[in-house]
Amino acid sequence: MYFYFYDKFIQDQKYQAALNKMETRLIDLGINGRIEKLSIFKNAKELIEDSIKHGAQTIVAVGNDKTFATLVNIIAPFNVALGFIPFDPDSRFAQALGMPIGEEACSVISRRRYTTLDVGKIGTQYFLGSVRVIHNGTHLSMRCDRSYSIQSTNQMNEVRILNMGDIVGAPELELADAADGRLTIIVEPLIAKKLLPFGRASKKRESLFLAQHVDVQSTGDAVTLSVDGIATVNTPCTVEIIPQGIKVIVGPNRKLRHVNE
Amino acid sequence: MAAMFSKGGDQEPAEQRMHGVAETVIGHTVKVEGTFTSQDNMLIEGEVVGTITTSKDVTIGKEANIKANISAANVTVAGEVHGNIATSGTTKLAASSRVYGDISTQVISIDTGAIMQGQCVTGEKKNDTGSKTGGTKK
Repeated sequence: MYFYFYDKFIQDQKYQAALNKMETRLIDLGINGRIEKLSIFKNAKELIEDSIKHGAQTIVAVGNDKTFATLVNIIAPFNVALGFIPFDPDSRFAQALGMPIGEEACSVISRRRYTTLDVGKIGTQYFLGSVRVIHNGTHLSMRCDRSYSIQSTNQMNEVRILNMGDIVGAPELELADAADGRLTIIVEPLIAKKLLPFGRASKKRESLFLAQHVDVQSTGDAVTLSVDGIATVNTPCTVEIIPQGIKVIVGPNRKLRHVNE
Repeated sequence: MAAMFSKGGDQEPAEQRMHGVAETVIGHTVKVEGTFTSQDNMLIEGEVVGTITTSKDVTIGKEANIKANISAANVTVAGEVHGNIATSGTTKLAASSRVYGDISTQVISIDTGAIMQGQCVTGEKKNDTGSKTGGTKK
């Protein structure tokens, strides 16, 4: 049974025609199901948990990257599949998963091509994309797999912990192996723009680690980490991977790379 | 992934970056402490204190500073190592390398100018009866 979750912005009048076409297409393909629309009166978590209780086996996010990331966090603990009908032409999750925009995604949903991906977890928050440190990671200390620690050495560093990739809010789409059972930790040194001519920042060679479990602490004030652009967590915290943690519908033109292929 | 390791500071294509082949990189701006065990190739240009073990290859850059024992399939050294190196294959010491520790390896290659202070054992190891020959102790 399919459950379609409409984000708030998609209920705006300007999307109505496109939504009508999409719903007609779902009926034609025989994959129409229950539709729930997020509003100020309806909590996403309660809606989805209720639908799972009533037998939903595939939850489909209808909206943008934040919609999709929100649903990953809610459904990760359950044994249901996740689909995506993007209505944002710049959607990065859509590019990674090979989902066309709008009505055309319905055909991909109907083909039911599933792939199982790792899920990241930071505290109680699940994520598919990445965790980013807000502001520089100079005072950050990370203990990986309980056996070695990584510290910055007096430099402005940008720290990212990737599962599938740096997707929501990132300046460019950055993909990692989404099913290798490991997180990709990137420590990237940045040179302040004002030090360079033409006002451009230069990026030197970044450090890259692979680990299953990362304890993140700050040696100074607490540092804030952004989780797929939809939530924030402060240090100290633990980031870990749940191998093969989520089943997702993918399209033929997907960009993500993983060992199941 | 190859583009990541091109000559310092080159930019990836703006629209997409892909981390594909598994490889650990310890850059200039990080320090790693502890027991580092991996199944991947490793490129080290920063500081490492502790133990490094991998089933694949280790490359130590010119500005790397390592205070650790290293165990790998093959090791190429261009920086400074305080510790023992054990490989099942080849150990290469570049002209800029400085190794303060013992080396145990199948094959060794030492460029002019490399500094090595310690014992070096190459080739097959002798068993107790001495029936296997080969191995050069320096």
